[in-house]
Amino acid sequence: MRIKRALSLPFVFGSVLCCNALAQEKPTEQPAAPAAPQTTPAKKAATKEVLAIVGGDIITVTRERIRGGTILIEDGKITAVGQDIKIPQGATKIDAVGRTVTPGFVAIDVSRIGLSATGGDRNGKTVDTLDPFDRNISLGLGVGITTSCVELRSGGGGFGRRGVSDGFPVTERFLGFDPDTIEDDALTEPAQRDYGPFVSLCKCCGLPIIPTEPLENTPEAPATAQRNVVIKMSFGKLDGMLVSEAAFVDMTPGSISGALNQYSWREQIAKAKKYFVDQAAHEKAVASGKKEQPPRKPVSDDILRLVKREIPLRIAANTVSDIREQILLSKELGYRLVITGAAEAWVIPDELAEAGTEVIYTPRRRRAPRFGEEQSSGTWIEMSRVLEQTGIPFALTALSNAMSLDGIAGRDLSSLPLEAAFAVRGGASERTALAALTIAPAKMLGLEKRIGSIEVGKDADILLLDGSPLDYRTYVETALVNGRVVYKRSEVRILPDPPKKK
Amino acid sequence: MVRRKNNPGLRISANSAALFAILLLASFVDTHIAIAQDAKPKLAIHVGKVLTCVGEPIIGGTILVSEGKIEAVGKTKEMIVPDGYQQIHHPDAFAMPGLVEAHSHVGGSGDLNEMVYQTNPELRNWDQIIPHNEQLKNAIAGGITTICFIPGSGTNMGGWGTLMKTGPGKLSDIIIKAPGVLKIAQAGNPERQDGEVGSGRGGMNYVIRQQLIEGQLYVRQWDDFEAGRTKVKPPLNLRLEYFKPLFHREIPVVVHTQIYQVVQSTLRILHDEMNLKIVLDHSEFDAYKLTEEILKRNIPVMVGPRGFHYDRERGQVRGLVAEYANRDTKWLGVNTDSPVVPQEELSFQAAMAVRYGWNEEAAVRGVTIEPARALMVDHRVGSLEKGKDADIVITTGSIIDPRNYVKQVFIDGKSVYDITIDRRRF
Amino acid sequence: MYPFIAANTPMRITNSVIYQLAMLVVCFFVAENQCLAQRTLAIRGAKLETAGKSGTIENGVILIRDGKIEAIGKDVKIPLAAQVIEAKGKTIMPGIVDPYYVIAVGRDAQPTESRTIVIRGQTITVPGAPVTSSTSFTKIADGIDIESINWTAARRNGITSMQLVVSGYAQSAIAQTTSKGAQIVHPDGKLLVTATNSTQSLDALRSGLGGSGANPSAPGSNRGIPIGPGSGRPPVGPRPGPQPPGPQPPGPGPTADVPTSNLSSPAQPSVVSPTQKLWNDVKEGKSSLFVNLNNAATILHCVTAAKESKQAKLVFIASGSDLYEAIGDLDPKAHTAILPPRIEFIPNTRDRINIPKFLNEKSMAFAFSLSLGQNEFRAQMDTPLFGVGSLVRSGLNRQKALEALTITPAQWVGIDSEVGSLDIGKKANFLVLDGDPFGSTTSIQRVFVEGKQIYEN
Repeated sequence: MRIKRALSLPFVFGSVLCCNALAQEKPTEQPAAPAAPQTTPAKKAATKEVLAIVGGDIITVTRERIRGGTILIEDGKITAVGQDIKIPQGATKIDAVGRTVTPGFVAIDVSRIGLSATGGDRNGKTVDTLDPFDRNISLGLGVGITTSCVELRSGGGGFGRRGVSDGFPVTERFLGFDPDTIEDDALTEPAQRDYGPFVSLCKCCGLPIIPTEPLENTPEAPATAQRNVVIKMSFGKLDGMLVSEAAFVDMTPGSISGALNQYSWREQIAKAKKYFVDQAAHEKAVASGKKEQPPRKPVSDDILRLVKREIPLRIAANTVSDIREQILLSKELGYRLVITGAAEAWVIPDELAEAGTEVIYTPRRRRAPRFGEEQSSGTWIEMSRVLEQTGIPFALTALSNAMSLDGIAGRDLSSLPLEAAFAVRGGASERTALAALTIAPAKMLGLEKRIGSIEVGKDADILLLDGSPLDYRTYVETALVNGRVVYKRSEVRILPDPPKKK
Repeated sequence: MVRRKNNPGLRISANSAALFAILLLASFVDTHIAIAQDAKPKLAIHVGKVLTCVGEPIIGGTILVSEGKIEAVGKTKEMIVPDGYQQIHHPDAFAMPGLVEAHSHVGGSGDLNEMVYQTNPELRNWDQIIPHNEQLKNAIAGGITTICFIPGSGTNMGGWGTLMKTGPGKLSDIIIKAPGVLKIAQAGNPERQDGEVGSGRGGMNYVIRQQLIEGQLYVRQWDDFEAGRTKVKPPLNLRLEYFKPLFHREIPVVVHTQIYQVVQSTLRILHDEMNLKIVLDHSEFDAYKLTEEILKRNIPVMVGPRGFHYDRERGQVRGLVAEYANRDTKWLGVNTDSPVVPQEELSFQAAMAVRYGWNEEAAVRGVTIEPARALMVDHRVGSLEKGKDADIVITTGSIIDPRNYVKQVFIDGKSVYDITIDRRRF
Repeated sequence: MYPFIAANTPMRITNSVIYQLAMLVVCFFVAENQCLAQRTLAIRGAKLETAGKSGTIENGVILIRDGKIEAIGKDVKIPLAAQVIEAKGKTIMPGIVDPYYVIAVGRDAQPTESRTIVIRGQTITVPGAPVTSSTSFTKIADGIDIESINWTAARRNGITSMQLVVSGYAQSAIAQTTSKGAQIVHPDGKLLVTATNSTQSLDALRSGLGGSGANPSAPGSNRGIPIGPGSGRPPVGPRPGPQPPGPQPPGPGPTADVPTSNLSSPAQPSVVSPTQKLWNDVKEGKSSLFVNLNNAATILHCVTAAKESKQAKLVFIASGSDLYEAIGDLDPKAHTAILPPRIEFIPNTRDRINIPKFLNEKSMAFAFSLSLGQNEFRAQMDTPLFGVGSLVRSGLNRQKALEALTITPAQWVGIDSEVGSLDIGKKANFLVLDGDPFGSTTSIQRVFVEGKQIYEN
């Protein structure tokens, strides 16, 4: 067992990973339960490994900031946070003096990162396509992303990277590129790259131009299944990588707009509700000794969970009327609603707040107002302030949900924290802006008990930063996922090296 | 830079007005319009910090503005504000010169490319200008007051571009210089179909050289005539007329050039052979490897819209501006190639360059005085100095930090954007 | 067939011996082929790299009778009747054992490389057949048309034994090179699978290794992800609340109670008793499982899938850079690797790395397959060890390199009692080289199989 543990240390990251092997040996959800270590208690006790992050300026997100604090980690979970924490003997220390320590960021809209391109089974399991060596994971960790909600799209080029998830057309979404295919781009001009039929290319440099026509209502569209999975960016390890499948009921834009779509949507919800009634009756009958078949599930499990309010509906809506339509439906049918895109949410904040609707948006996204409605349509930089003041929880996404190596800086997922800077620019407080990268998306994913803040009992997904988390110059120096060091800037060296001190 | 003078800058403003008029004359614009200055009040702008972009920042500074020009810049406590000046207080804010965009296509309508010939020196783009259009309004909200509005790179010589202000007004009010630059594209987009001349780099550079030599000859004929060396007045050729300021080195060529190989031919053909003032635009991918040659010739580099390249040797993202800066390039700026990157995000281009290894002081210069010098309009814009246009941006802090935003913008001494009155645009 | 002619051979053998031998060989080949094997052959004066018990012997003697090594050493007495070959200045090493020699079988039995044919004066290039990735089980020995395969490259690369494999789900066959081609010596080889990131391929692995595992309730079997060997489709779907979907309560692994035969996965290869036996051998550690992998992630998936089978020994056929990335999850006790002998890149960079050296430092056993590096394999005929030599020159332990070509793959393939080293009683399969095996200009001079020369350069 000893040899095994030693070998499971990823050689790249050296000795700080000791707690990891232990973390794998028992279910992660039972940190202190006496039942957990029953298998080989003696060995466990002898080799209990503790990781201590010492001396950092800890931004917990949900609680007060702790200056010069210590975080203890065991079995991939945070076991202690505070200033006067006694560090157990033999604990592996990570020096965080002079560093800002924050929870890992949650990217709530991500194209296929961390999933292998080779998985192709129609009936395949997501877990089998996990690729913990995806270079994009390192890119993500480099800016602090430790958890991603990844959209799984069937078919389509670019491994499903094309698509519409926040209602803005593909044309606006910067396409991602694989590091492996970028090779030739360094030597050829990109003018001829195909961005699809609707994208105009700059005549000067050949890059796609972001159009900013006025917003229009989403046309009705047939509903197509969109799947999503939540994965940890646990580079190099499968263990603990897959967190959940289907964190949302993801509906394509326009798929519950219009009379016919809404009729069938109401039908589905009604069937789900009836199923619960039938099931209760069935259980009662069984309890009283009757033999009968259980009722058949009339809709997908996801819809059932939606009706039980376990997971929210996520749908793109941008204009005031689209957003209103969805709010009304969610109130009528009684499910949780998360609006993506949400360009004009700032116009009707009270209506969102009253319905408890949450928002996923990109502060820098711009869309021109409609003619004659310049003051009350289109996107607005101050939306972050409006949302904060109205108390609407929001999560942030980047302009593109891919990792782009095409050379345009700061417009894709690798600039996610910079979107929070733009939220501050728009008037939100730094606290709210940071929450929009951490606890707010964690709540939308139903994972607020595991991720999104630095608290005892939560997963040790922690960043050591060389500055304020919202400063545009800040880099992640060390990132931990599930208590394991998965990224060190000085060793991974995927992002620019720090300037040499002269 | 600190001035402590009692006399208001009347003489100065008269001088600069004359200069302005002369410039406008050169730009084929009616002169009497430019002298109408009545709407430009005298201002005393007091701010927490002035980034002049030449020399050290001034903590607690005041800028005096008169007749659309900067009259004085100095420490507030050392400055005596004469009567008749409207006082504007931004005690917590920064003042900086209006940002200068080195490469933009949003000054007017989108007909940027007339691809009739492979070289089009007969085309000029100031007829396409739409002053203070939506994109330019956003640009002002991003602090950009001057843009180099140029034709596209659909052909090897796209035509003549304009240096213009982003604010409202008649064409004559907003044009700084027209023609301001010549647009040349040496590779990539202007490539033609296989088999035609210009489907490869050899052909493209042939047509460029051919056209420039034709222009050079024309300019020489006129120079000889005007100097009295020849009696025969050459016939006016509208197609070649604007080569005069170009070969007199009064305006530069902005060159669409990127990749080591192409930049090499830019240096060799446009600089060494044709003896032109040039600005290297884009200059992406591995072009930074030519830094030594660029420095030798003292040529400005305006990087963008790409900000980084992925170095496969190292498996690392590397900042392009940083690659130049680390090789001691000082004459360095960024551009948006707007609309590729929205015009208002010029400062964000600089922010990303800093994130990827540039330094912030250089970045502030790289969106103001460095592009102004490169475009040869630094006598008018690019810094807060006495005698220059009063294009002043009031920000909540360093504009490079995306958390800070623009509170007020003055162009030619007039407030054109004020978030206490206008809805914030960016 | 291969008479020794003095003018052609660079070997310094006395003229008389050459003449005698030449005559003898000609005679025996023509007259009675059987005779040669029964005679005693002695080779003396060469440096012997035995890869076995005797280590390296300078100026040694190797005595061959009936195609087997009768004696080897410095002071071996050469019987009077023995034919003697003087081999001073030469090096003799065991014949190379290639543990992963890909061939095409059955309906896929077209050459996998493109070839040019001429029909009615027109030259046509016929593309090669794709490598099969079928999930149906193939027993190679049953489907192979060994005559239709060109074995020149194997012979000229000094490969004397090889495990014949196909990509996909199969049982290998062990073959031996002959002077004309190759012959199967053990039709019942090892179990082969190909794994990708697809559920289908991983299910094949999981169902095989799962089921009646040797030690299903071993502690520490519950990992944080919902993979269970043997589980066709575990309940990873909707689960209320924020719980992770994966972990099962401690106790017997989720796999133990799912009998293999009950699996209903649509892609399930039909499990019948012969394959079941193969899997059982794997699970009991009696036999290695050869897993062909296409990326680093798949290595992890396989390691996870095989977690339950504590005894199973997995041989990964993977690129060096994939092994490099996945090294943190590899266990030298259970995992070994076959890779082509070449310098590789560290992933995502252009930095070069000697992966075999790296694996050796991590105590991972490895073997080389010359034929995996297809281009080199063809380019380096007669100098097959050029690639390995460059690895040795850049730091790979010499002895390990030698073993990785001979005894190590022989052990994994299960033929180490017959071949793989120059030890007494083993088949006299060996190569005569004109210098140090890992020298950059060394080339093969002769190849012997069972005491018979099958190739001369």
